[in-house]
Amino acid sequence: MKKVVLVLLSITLTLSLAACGKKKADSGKERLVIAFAEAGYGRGWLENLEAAFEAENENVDIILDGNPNMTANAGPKIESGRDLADIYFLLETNWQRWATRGYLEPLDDLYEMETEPGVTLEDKLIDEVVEFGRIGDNMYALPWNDGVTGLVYNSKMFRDKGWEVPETVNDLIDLTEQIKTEGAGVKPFTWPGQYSAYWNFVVYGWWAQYEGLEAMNEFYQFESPEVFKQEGKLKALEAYETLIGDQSNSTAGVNGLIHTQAQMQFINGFAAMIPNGLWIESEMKAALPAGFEMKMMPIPTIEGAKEPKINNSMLGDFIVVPKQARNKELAKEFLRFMAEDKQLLQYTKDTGTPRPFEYDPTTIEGLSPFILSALEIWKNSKSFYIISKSPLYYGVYVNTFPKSGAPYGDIYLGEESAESVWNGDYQYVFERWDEFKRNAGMTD
Amino acid sequence: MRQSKKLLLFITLILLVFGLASCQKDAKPPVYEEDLTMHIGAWVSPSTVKDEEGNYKYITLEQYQRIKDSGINVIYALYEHIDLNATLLALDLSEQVGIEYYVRDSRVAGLFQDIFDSNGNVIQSEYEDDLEIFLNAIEPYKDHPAFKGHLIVDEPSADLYQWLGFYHEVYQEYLPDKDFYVNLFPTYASLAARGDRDYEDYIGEYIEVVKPKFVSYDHYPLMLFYEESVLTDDYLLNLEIVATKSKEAGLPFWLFLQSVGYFNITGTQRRDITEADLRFQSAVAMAYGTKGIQHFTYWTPDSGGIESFSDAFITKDGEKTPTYDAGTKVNHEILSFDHVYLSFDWQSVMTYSTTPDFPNTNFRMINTEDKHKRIKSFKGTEDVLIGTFKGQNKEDGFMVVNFTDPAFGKTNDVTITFNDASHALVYIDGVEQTVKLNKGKLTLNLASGSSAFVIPY
Repeated sequence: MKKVVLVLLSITLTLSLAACGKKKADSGKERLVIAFAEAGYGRGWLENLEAAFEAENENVDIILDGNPNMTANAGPKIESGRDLADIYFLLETNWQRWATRGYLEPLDDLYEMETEPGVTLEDKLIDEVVEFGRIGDNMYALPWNDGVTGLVYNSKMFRDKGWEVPETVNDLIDLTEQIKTEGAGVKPFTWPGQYSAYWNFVVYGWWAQYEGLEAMNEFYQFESPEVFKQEGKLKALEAYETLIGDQSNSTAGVNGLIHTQAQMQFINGFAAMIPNGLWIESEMKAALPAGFEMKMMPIPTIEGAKEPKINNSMLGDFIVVPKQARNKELAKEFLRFMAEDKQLLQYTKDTGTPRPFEYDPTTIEGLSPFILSALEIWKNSKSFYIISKSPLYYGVYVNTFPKSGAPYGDIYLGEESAESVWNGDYQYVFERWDEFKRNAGMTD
Repeated sequence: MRQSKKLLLFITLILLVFGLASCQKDAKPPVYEEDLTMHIGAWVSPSTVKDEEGNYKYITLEQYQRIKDSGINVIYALYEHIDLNATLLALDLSEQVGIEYYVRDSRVAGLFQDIFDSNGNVIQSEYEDDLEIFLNAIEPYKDHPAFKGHLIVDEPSADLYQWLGFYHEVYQEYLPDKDFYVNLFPTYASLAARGDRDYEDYIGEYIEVVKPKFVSYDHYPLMLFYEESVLTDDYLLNLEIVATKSKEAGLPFWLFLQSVGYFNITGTQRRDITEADLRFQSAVAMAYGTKGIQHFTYWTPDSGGIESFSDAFITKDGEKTPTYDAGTKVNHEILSFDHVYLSFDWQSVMTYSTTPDFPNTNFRMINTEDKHKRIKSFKGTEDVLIGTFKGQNKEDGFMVVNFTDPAFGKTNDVTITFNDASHALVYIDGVEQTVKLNKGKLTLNLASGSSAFVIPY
C-alpha cells in the first residue's frame, strides 16, 4: 500500500513539476534573462527592480541568473554564445576586448532614450563617465556601480578621544602622532599587507588632487611614456611613504594580513583608520562589535592640490548586452528603466551604493551613518574615474605601477622609496614602450 | 503431480546453474598490461632558501622522498630558475628517489625571441649567439637521468606562438627526447591575455603553430564567494575545447588541479582544498580523457602584493599539510588503475541532470552525446557526468563521476543499465571490483567527489 502511495505521489510530483516548467515557457510572456555578479549586494536590489519592471510590463517575465563568479563566467559565455543571458551585470573586468571582437551589442540607442521627459540617459550620467562605455564610434557598456573609497575611521574612538578628522595630509601626519601618544596602544592604521593595493584608494586620491582630473585622464590615455613623469604620482607616493614608511604607524605584522584580518583588527579597535571602501560595512556586518561606529573621511588634501575634494570612485563595474542575446530591445528598455530617479533611489537604498547618475541619494531615509558619510563625500567631491581608451591599458600592457604592480609593501619595508618606485616605473615603461605598442597592435 | 512439480523445479535449477556457469565462463574480464603510467606532475618544487651555513634548507633527500611518496612522478621547478646549483642538486635528488624534474632556467626561457628582423627573417648572427647560450646553459644537466625537459613559459599570449614554434623546432633538434613545456591559459583568462584569440583559436593555433607533444592548461574551478562555494561555470566547456582539439591532433592533454587555495586582490578566491576536491577534479579531467594531472601547487608559493596562497602539500617552512595526505591518497588511487584507464581512448561525454528543464550551468554549456549503444539508460540521485571511452580491443569504458561540488558533501547513487553485458570491471576511486550485473544493471554509490571507471563485458 505504502509503495502504491509512493508511486502515485511520485507521478503527481513529476507531473506538477513538469507543468511548472511548462507554464513559464508557455506563458506567452517575453522572457528577459539577467545574469549578474551576485556579490556583496546580494540579489534583493534586482528582485525589487524585477518586481517594479514586471508591474509596469505585464507581458515580461524576468529570469534572474545570479552567481558570485559571474564576472569570470561571463567571458566564456559571451565568447562562445553558449548559455547566454540578455543582460550581464559584472564587476570590473576587461569588457573592451569583447567590444572590439564584436561580441557586444552597441548601446548608442539606449544612451539616447529618455529616463524622464526631456532627459536622456546620457544627459543624466555624471559628465566624467559619459565616455565610460565608448569603444571607437559606439557605446558598448553602461557603468553599473559608482563607488567611494579612501580612509575609513573609527568614529566612536575619534569622538571619545577628541581626535579631529584630518583635513590635510599634514593634519593626518600630526594625527598619527597624536594617536600613538593618546591611543593607549591603538595604532593609526591597519591594512592588508597581502593585498596592499588597498592603498590605491588613498594614493590615487592624493595624486588626483595634486594633478587635477584632466591630467589624470591624460595619464590613463598613455599617449607616451612621459605621462609616468607626472609629479602628482610622486607626491602621492611620498605622502604614503611618510605615513606608512614609518612602521610604528601600522599594527604589528600588518604585512602578513589579508583584507578580512585587517578589517577585523580595525573593527576591534586595534587601529583607528583603514584604507577601504563603501563595501566594508556589508562585508563585516556579521562581525561588527556592539557599539562600534565608523565613518568614511574625505581624503585629506595634499599640499599643492589643484582639486582638494576628490573621491576616488574606483568605478569599473559595468553592464553589457551580448550581440547574440535573444531579447536585446527589451534589455535596453530594462536598463533605461533602471536609470529613472525612482529606481536609482531604490537601488541605493537596497545596496548603500550610488550609481553614476545625477541624483541625490543622501535624501534616502534609514541609511547607516557610515553609508551616509560616504554618500556625502560622493555628493560633495569630484569623483575620479579611471576611464582609459588605450589598448595599452585595457590590453594590460601598462598600468599605474607597471614595474611593481603595487609598491606599497616594498615602501613599508624600506625596500623601495617613493622616488625609486616613481623612477622605476618610468624607466620600465620607457624601455618597453615600442614593444608594448607592437604587442597591443598599435603599430604596423 | 506434486512429484512432477518437484522434478520440474529440479531440472530448472540444474539448467539455471549450468546456464550461469556457462555465462561466467564466457564473460572473462579484460586484462590490461601494467606498462602505462599516468603523468602526475606538480608545480613548485622545494624552495631554494638556505640555512645559516649556506646549505639548501629544503632541497634535501627527505623532501624529495616525500615528493616520490606522494605519487608525484614529475616535479616542476620554480625558484631554481637563477640558481644552477639548486637545479643540479634537485636533479640528483630526483634521480635518487626515482622521479623526473622539469628545469626552469632563466637563461633558456626567453631565447630566440629577438632574432628576427622586421620582415620576420632570422638574423643568423643573433640566432647563433642564442644557440650558444642555449647549448652552454643545458650542458651541465642535459644528460642527467632525471632531466625531463624545460619549463619554457607559463600562460603565453597567442602572440608568442610564432616564437614558441620556432624555439620548439630548435629545442627538438638538440633535446629530442625532452619536453618543451608550455602551460596554457584557461577559458576564463581575458581575451587580452590570450592575445585577442577566442579560446578555440587559442588552443587550435597553439597546436598548429607550436606543434607540441602535449597540451597543458590550468583551470581552477573551486571558488569561494562570501563563504559560499561555487564551481566555475566554464569548467567543463574548457575541458571540452582542450580535449576535442587535442584528440583531433592526436595529442594527450594534461590539466592542472587546484591543490591550493588562494585569494587575488581582484576578489577572486579559490577555496582551500579537501581530499574530495582533489578526487573530484582528477575524475572530471579523466572523464574528458586527460593523460596527466598536475598539482598547482606542491610547495606553498610566496604571496605577492596582489595574490595570497594558503598551504599547499608542503608549507613554506617545509612541513607536510593535510593536503599532502589527501593528494597522496588521490594520486595513488589513480596510479592503482592508470594502466587500465590509459588503455582507453576518450570519445565523448554524457550527462544526467536531476533538473532536466534547467541543468547546472556547466552542463548547459557543453556538447554531450544523448545516447551510447552500450548504455540502455542511466540516472543518478544527483547530477552525473560520464566520459565514454573505447579500449584497444574496441571494448567500452565509462568514467562515471558524481558531478556535484564536493563542498556540499553529496553522495550520488548512480544506476546504469548496460546492453549486452553480464559483468563489469569497476574501479571506484581506484579500487578494483568485478561486479555481476543484474539484467545489465549496475548500481554505484559514489561518495562526494568520487568516480568509477566501468568496463562492462
